[in-house]
Amino acid sequence: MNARATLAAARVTMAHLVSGTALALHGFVALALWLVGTARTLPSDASAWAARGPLLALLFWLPGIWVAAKLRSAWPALGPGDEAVRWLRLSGRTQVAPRLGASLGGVAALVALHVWVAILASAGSVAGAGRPEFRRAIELHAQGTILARAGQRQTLEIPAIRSRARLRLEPRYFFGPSELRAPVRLTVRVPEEAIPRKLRLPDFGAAAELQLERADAGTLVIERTSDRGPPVSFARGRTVLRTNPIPLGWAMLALAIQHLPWALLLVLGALATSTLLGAGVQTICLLGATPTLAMLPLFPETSAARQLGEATISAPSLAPVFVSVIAALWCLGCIPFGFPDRRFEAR
Amino acid sequence: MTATNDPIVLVQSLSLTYRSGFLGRRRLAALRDVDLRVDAGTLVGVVGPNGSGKSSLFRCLLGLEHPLAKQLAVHGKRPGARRSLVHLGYVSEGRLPLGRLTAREFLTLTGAIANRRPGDARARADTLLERVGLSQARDRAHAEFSTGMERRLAFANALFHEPQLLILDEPSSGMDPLGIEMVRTELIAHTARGGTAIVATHSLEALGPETFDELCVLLDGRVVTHGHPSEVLGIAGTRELRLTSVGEAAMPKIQRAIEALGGRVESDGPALRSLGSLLAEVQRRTKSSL
Repeated sequence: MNARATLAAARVTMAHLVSGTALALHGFVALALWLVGTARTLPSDASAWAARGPLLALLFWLPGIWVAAKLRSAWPALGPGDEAVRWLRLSGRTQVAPRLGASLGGVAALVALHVWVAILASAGSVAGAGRPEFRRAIELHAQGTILARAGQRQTLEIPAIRSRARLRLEPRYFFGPSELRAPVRLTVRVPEEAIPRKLRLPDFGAAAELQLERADAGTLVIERTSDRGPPVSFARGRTVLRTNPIPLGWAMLALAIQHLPWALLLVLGALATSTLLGAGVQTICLLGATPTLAMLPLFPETSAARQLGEATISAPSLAPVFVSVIAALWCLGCIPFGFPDRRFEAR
Repeated sequence: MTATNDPIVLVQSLSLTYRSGFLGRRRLAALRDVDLRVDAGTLVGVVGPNGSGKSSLFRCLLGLEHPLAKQLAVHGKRPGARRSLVHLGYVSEGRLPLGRLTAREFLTLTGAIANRRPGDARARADTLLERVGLSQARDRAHAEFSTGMERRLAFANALFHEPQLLILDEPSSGMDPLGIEMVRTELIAHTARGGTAIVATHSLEALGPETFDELCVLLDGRVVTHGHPSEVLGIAGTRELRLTSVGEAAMPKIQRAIEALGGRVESDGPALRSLGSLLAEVQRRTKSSL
């Protein structure tokens, strides 16, 4: 492997992708999103954030789209019809090293632009009113059967809490024989608390929040105290523990890092398809693929829009399938295929 | 670079047909039974009108086409084979890629692709840019270059890895006389070092037919004549003399002597040098005086 060719291709590719134009474009989009989010007169700071925060998620998609769209012009030797294919081929050197370099340059540019987006999002949030305090979110999973009758219980393993935390419970509601409109009454036995707390879910679909004090790890028990109201299940719903506050800059950086695998998927997909597709066809494919990727509900806990709306930051997680797909695309993208640049026929 | 008895390029009965139109039913014979042998240390000019097959022949030698041939070898190998390409420098008719890079960056990238150390590559780039007359423009993006400057950069790119074989398609196209003189000088130096060059050109007069060891004339995809420039371009029954250190007073005597031998002097006047050589000399003088 020609490491010098790899490094040179990476440098040339990255320099093109992280140009002044790219930084300015991201800044312009951040500003535009911010202005759109604050265009309406909203009754409170919280509602202002609710309108503005999720919009910022669009900004986190921009680096991936930018790099995927510009990768081919940054290193124009990736596929049929590219201007540098012949120049590189006639050098008589291996094509794998520059392709690997171009992909590394693309990934490095992606990381740099994600950091830039995190800075822009932080700056915008600092400037705006109603900015909530971002907290680390831990997704918890309750155990037990559906709570349909009084006396039925579900349990929840709580990690050690070092400072004050809030537990958000979003149970799943079921249709049952009892009155659906009636509130659901529960008791919650919190570790290290002698007296159980009362919890009331007033409407069908309502969520509840509990304030938790500093405590060691333990089991929280939720017990239904009345038969009235619809059956609910915390095990089937979503439970999030909001713990330590995170500085805004770190929160945005964490969001950017969480979004990186999606952007990688897009960029490496572009690299892999560029081997076989012309630039025009590839652009059309990318335009189709991006909204599809954005709408896939595969990993909802990493949704930037929801985390911005809730002011929570989840721990980044990557499914092995996701990692495998990214690795496969990367390998595929580094394989150079020979493509004739003119039709021919031997007499 | 050493000359050996094996030819650098050997082509026998080479034919190439392009297909176009609906289902490729329209055919165009670009090359027909072309024979060419290029030995080490020779400078071969390939000339002919537009569409005569010069570029197609070069594409076959580079392995960009798959023609029919009894024999087709470059450095004894199949054209397009990596081992033959690493000893080959090529100037194509088109512009160079990555126009946003400066001339120096582009050549340094060429060096990195050829696995040269960055310091070496930069030094080589600077030397070559000086040689092709682009040292003043080395930090400009080459997309901003004029056609002639771009050709100079393409020439420097072809020379970068000191190839044994140069295949140059219109290297002096769009160049000023100084550029043409530079190409001529570099080609002579290349062959003097034992290198080989095949050059397609419409500027044969500007480059000087005497620069070439052999000329190959293509017409409609066929080689119509091939040999030393004096054989290919010479007019039968005529001689051209160039006299030096002869005063005006001696000319009538020389003329009478020629007529006494049955010859005839058709023109008489001072020998003219090319504009390129004049400009090159002026440039050298200016540099030495600074």
